[in-house]
Amino acid sequence: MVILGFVAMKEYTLRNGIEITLKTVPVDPRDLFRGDYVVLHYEISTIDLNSYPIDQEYLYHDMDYVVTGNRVNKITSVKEGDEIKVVLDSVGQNVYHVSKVYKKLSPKKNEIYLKGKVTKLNDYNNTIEVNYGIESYFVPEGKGREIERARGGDTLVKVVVDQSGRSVIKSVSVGDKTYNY
Amino acid sequence: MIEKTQIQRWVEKGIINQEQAERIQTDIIQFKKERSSNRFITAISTIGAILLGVGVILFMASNWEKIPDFVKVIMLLGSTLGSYGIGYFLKYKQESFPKVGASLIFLSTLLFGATLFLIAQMYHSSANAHWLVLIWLVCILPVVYLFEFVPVAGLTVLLFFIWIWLYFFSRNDDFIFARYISSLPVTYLVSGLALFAIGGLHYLSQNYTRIARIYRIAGLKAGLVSLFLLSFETFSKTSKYSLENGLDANFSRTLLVGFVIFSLIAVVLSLVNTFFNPAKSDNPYIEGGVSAGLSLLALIVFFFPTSTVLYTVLFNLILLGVIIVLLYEGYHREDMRLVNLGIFWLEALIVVRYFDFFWDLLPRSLFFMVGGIVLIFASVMLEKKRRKLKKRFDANITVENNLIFNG
Repeated sequence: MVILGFVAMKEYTLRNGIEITLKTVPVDPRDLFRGDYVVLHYEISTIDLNSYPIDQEYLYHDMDYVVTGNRVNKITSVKEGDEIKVVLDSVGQNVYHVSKVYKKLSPKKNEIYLKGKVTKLNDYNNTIEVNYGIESYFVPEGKGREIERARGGDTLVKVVVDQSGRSVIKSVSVGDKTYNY
Repeated sequence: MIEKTQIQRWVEKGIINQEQAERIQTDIIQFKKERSSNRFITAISTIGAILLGVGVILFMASNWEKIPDFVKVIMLLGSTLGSYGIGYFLKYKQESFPKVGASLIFLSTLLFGATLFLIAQMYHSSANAHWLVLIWLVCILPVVYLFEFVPVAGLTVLLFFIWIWLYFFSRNDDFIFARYISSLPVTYLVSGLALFAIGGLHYLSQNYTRIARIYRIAGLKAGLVSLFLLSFETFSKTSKYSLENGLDANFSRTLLVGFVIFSLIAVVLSLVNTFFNPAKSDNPYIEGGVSAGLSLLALIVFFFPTSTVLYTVLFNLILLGVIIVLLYEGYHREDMRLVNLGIFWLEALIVVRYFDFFWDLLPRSLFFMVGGIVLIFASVMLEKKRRKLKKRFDANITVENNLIFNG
């Protein structure tokens, strides 16, 4: 029952979710490839808490307040292990980027968001590292090296996201080659 | 087991006649043959089950991309349920091949884990997900309790400790892992104590005596390894730099909450075991008191670190105390396994402390010569003592047998 439930949850996301494209950034080349899976690190995995437009909700670490318009709102602080919702927007482009980050508030109905967990706080530049559960891409034996060698161009990942913020990787594209396992 | 000399003595004393003596000896030989055969069958079928399980895992894990996903799911689920079903049928329904049936049921619990991980892999779920191990552990627990399966109980213990590692310490960032490494033995200490206490509660039911022993031994060993690590400054002393910069206190909520929960479980259940004594221990206050006390100490060490050697000294004394208790209990119950365990850890403690104290004090050559001589003498002495004890324990069993027959 447990296994069927797990499969059902993933299949629901794949069939009813929205497909988005995320850009990856290079990870430590020392150990990019562990066994039969490729480690993925996204642009959205590191969130700069300083870089948000006015009139949006903010999460700040180590600051108490932000000015939004004429109002002063108390900021929600964030700690390692906190669950957050990262709202994404493509802003007319192919790739989705961070638009807002929520901790206590809920995203609006038309907002696409990913559920993530804060894994690290970087005080020196006021950023946070977030894990979304889509950082591993399993490949057949030997194929990982092929993907690793082909990197150099843009590596884009197609992810399906459902209304609850859950996500499943669909495919990985390196340059003009797409890998779908 | 009754020995030949014993049987002869009974004949001489007229307790039994020669014909009866011969029948008893034939019976014993037959019993030994059957037992050895049973053990052999169990070993072979268990090895066969493990090899089959490993083969299936490797076969599926080669990511055979030509198989559609839904077929993979059916194959995996089918092999798990099939193994379980056939095993159950052979062991409990038909009862014709109970050993093979038991091995197949064990195989099904391994296949369940493989199925879970491979399906997660199909959907590219996170490679270090601790919750996969937790689901595996929780889902095979019914097999332990419904069938009183000792091998599966052993598997649940292994999964429990793997889950602890993945839940608390699995990080992609090596720096963060290095910061948390000092809390590793304290976390395993409270986990081991909690498992020991949970094992004690299993004595409440006659059916779960063997499972209780598995959990208690595993908890005890985890506790001993953790105490041993904590006897080193590396794990029980925090650097002044970390204390001044608050690095030691910056644990994740996961680690904090989880640690407190495990500690409270260990304390509460240890106290329950102390006052209700389901294990019928002769010294429940020592067992329970030490467990509860250690759990509380672990909490203090975790939340109030120090850059002095206070905790290091304390843990060395506690480890020595636990070893003495083990040896005492081993003597008292005439249990060689406890005595051996106590002797092993005593030797380990002496060796490492010898290194700590004398490494810098003595010239190298003298250090090794003296160390070597001391170890040789200590080994000879301990071995002589151990054999004496074993003889005495075996002799006591013989005396008890004689009393039964002579009245």
